Amino acid sequence: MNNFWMHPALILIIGGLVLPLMKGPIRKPFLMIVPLLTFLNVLALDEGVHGVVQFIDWHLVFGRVDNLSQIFGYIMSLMCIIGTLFALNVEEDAQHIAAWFYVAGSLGVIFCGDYVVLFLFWELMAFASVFLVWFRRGPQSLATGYRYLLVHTLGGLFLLAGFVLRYYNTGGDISFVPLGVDTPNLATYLILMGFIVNAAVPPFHSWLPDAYAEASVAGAVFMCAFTTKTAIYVLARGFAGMDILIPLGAVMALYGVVYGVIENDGRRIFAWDTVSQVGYMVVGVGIGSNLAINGACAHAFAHILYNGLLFMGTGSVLYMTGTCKLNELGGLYRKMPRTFLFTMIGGLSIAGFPLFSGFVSKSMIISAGFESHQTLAAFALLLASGGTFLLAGLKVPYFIWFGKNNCSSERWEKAADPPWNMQAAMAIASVMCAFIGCYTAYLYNMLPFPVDYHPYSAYHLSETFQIIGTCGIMFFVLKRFMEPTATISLDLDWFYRMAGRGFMWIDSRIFQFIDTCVGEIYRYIGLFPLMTISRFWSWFDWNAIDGVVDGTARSVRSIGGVVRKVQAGNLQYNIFFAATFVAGAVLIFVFV
Amino acid sequence: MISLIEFFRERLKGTIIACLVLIGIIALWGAFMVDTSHAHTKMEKIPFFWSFFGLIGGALLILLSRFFGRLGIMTREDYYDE
Repeated sequence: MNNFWMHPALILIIGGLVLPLMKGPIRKPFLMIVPLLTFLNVLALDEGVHGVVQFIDWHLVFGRVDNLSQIFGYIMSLMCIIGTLFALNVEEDAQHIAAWFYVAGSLGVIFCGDYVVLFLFWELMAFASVFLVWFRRGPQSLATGYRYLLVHTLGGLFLLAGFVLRYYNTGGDISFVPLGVDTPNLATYLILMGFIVNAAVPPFHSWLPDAYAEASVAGAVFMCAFTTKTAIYVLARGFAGMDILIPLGAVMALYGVVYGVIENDGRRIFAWDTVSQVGYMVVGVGIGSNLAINGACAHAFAHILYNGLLFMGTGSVLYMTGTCKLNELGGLYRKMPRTFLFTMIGGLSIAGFPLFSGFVSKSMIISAGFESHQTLAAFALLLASGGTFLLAGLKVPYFIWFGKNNCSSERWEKAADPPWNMQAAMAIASVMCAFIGCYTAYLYNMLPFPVDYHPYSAYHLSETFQIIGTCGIMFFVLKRFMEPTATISLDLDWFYRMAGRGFMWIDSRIFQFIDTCVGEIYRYIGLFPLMTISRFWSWFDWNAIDGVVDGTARSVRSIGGVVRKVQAGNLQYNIFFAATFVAGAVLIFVFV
Repeated sequence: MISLIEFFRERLKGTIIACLVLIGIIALWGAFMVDTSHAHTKMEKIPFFWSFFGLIGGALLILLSRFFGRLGIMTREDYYDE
């Protein structure tokens, strides 16, 4: 490095490595100090380029600090504090280490200045976060984790292919700067595909509800914040104004709502809501104007907090009752009132209810859409906003905390507000959601471009209240169509799940059959003649070679036996045999 | 908190009517009292536009999602366990 510069990711990595040594009363304070130091370090970063490392012919940039990276670094490190507080009662060090390495990967991507460093931290995110799925240790966790890893490996390969191709096209440029979105080439599209896999843009979105719903209680809180928003950061950095992102984002926003309506699992509903909300940000990046990029950044900031809150709320229900399925819950407001309050604040925030964070962030993107004459996309986002209120503001709170009580007696007995640290984390996130919604300058002053936007206009308030109010009426009118059922929803992951199963079928039936055939053919053509020849030579060896040798041996043994009998040790017999032998010899000599 | 919720649950009918009245007032306010000169499209100037947008949009999202789900998208929980 040119001079001393502490990368915030390094604090988390070192903290993670040291954590197993922290035992007893110092462990929990240490767990809070590490993310706190990371946050303070991010706050202290000066604008400019830091942490430049010479590697081969490249100048690798680990620390590009500007308006865009600062706001993302700020919210990521803040969410790390809240997430770690929520997970404070998790005794397993490895889970904290995986979460911190994951956040370190995100911060590494945010502050990187070139594709080599970006790729390094990009992969760190994928490989650290998969452990948050595996640490759930449920019946599906292992398979889900591998699916998650496969999809992200595919995304990583797109990214790698894209920046290597760009490296050759540009004669050795590895810098991560805005790409030529007006004249995109193959390298641009490959890099874009790498990014949108992590942003969960259809058709690469299925990993998100699959993994978030299967992650550990604390793991889901981290996962819902970092991967997609880091992807939004890199899209905003490299692809601002890329038109194709506008329809993709609008489709995302509605697609997530549609699946959320038919979903039964609370965390999976919020995972679908995440797809929907990230769709807003993708539209914002696609529009690319200053207002739209501000909106995308503001919405990412707000979304990290309220989405974390929603996953903390539903995670608390899962932690305390053992399930998050809506058809197995109900009436929990008596048992988990504070969790209900916090989740409701998250629900109002995500729905864009006035005085909460979503209201001041997503409206920037919608306004930018109208200003840029993307009317259809803007209306799609407004419709998705109503749908989000149906899900997060009504469906989940109603069927978990109100509605018909479907809890088993055992589950009802177990249900209670979670431990203090989980409540404290939810309380902090709730206060932040309300604070951002009420004091807009806090968020707007951090945005990458100067802000001239006022969300609390009478027109915007009336529009929002009418959409939310009338969607609320429709919920209660059509509630029977929203009743949770014990079902799962098939999605595009069906194709690769079935492709995997098809591969296994082909492998176990066709390749196995071919392998058996080859084995049998070898047995009859190769092995059988070989064995026959071997048997012949064995016979020949035994009867011919050994016959001669053994025959000689047997003859010698036989003669020896006779001689042995002759030499019985009696002197008179020996004299008799010797005299007989001599007489015989004399007779032969005389007469022959 | 619990007592507040139970207060409203015990007066459910009154609570529903109060909510409906509030939504009606907001719709009237939006239709006739709010300056629509900053509306982005002409159709937004139609009275109660956003109320109809919410009603129709909400109904469409619920019904079409359910219809979509019934096409075979919603399936048994052990579907992938075979």
